[in-house]
Amino acid sequence: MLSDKDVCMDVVKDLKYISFMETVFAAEASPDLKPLFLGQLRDHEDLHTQLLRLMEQRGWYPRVPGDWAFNEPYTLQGTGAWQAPQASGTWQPTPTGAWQAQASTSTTGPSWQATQPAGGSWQTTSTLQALQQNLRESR
Amino acid sequence: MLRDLDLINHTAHEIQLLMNKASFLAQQVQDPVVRHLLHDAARMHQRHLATLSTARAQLQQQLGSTQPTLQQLAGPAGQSGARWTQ
Repeated sequence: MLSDKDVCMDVVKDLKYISFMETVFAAEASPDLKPLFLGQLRDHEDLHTQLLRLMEQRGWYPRVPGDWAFNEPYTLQGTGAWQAPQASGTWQPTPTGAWQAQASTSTTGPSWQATQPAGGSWQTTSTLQALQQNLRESR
Repeated sequence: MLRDLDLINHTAHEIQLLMNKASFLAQQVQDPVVRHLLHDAARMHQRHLATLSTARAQLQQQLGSTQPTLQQLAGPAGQSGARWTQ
């Protein structure tokens, strides 16, 4: 017997497949038929968005904010110990590990905010400056 | 046009499967929100199927008016090979 989470994960895979297929078909179809495939693609992606939001609310599809790695490419403090919340039906915004980011516990939903170091600037900047200095000196 | 028809047939086949699956899964899940979403998905697939069916009928009509008959393909008596003159 599939759980609700399993069903949702399966439907997500189906939607990914059908979206991919319609993207390819829209590119392959004649100009008259292209809008038909693109319109259906949009409907499926809207449904995909709704489903992902629902799953995220229930903790079935936790998403790690991508800008952690973007903002701090060299200073990630964690050692890969970030753990997704348990899928217990309610969202538990309490990641474990040593990331320099904190989960908000507001009642409006899960939101994430990176914590800036006390020095006022990212360590990335000084790391990059040191690399550039080293490069200049080695020339 | 033949390629369009093939694309439509393939899409309709896949969407038919997804519609049946969504209807079946909607009866299996416990969460009413998920069930509602799956019902919406099934209705959406049904609407898409109707659109695809209309497009397929139009394409077949166009193809039927331009497609050569078997006699035309066979060519005149005594002449071998097909001719695409129409």
